[in-house]
Amino acid sequence: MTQPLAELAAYSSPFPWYQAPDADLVRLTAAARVAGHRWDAIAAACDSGPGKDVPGVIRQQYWISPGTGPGPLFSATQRAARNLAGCDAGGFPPLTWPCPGCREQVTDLAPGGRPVHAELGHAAGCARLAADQAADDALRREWLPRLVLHSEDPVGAVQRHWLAGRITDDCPRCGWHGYFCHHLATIGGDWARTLCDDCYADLHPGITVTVKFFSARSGASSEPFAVIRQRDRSDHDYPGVGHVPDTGQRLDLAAVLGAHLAPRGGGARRRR
Amino acid sequence: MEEAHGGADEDIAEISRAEAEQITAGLAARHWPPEAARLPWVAAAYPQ
Repeated sequence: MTQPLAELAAYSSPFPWYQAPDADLVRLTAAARVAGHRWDAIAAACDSGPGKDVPGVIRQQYWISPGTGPGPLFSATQRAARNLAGCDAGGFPPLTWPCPGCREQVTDLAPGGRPVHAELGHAAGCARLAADQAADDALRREWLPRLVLHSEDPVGAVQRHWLAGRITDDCPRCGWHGYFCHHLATIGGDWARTLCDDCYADLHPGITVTVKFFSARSGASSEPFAVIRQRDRSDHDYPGVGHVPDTGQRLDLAAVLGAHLAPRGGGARRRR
Repeated sequence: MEEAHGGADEDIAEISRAEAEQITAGLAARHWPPEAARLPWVAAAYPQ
């Protein structure tokens, strides 16, 4: 274990990020990122929670993180950075670290996702970013095929695969982040850029997709807090599930989406 | 026309693609560094 990870893990169990002082949490996670650790690796190395008891063979089969995953650590670090910046700083300040490859200051947008999308600020041609992306590609190419029960015949370059269980991932084409419940799609057999099922429909020559856009606004505010993209598909006889492309709000939009999708039973007003 | 349900007060309104791109760009600029404008889903409201 490298120095920043060991120092972070030394804080009390089960989750050191609840115990570490704000300044230490921000400093040590940034140092771990400089040293080349992904957020999920940092969280796993410091996690002595109950998830450690899940047998390794089960974790590998279902791609289960041994603990809580990197989300709580990332959020705790964001809160720590905001505490250090002061309440007047507004929203969450960016989590940054100096890239040892290109010497630029890099901002992590999220605890996961493809490095080319989640690490902003690298100089063009940065070797560290290339290495991070290559490692992410290799991980996906190794593990994602193992999560598939059945693959449909390719339609042109696009092919749909049935998952053995639900996973959380990002679609690199449309920016949606969330559960991939049943399907993944590949283009040209490339498992490093697996797409969501709506992007599969976009690219399928036999499926017609109709897209609508909606703004979501709190009743107390004149400013929208999200854009919802809804795709209705000719192969589905029900309205499309709206997607919210990630723009960093870190909001739970389930209520809004639920209202939009189920106009008889939701919790929001839909204006026409 | 307005349909009201439940107790939440979020408003959902259909908008144009241009409006969607303008709002998305504004949200990304508020929460993320300027380079985020180049992310595919921020640069275009619908994937190409």
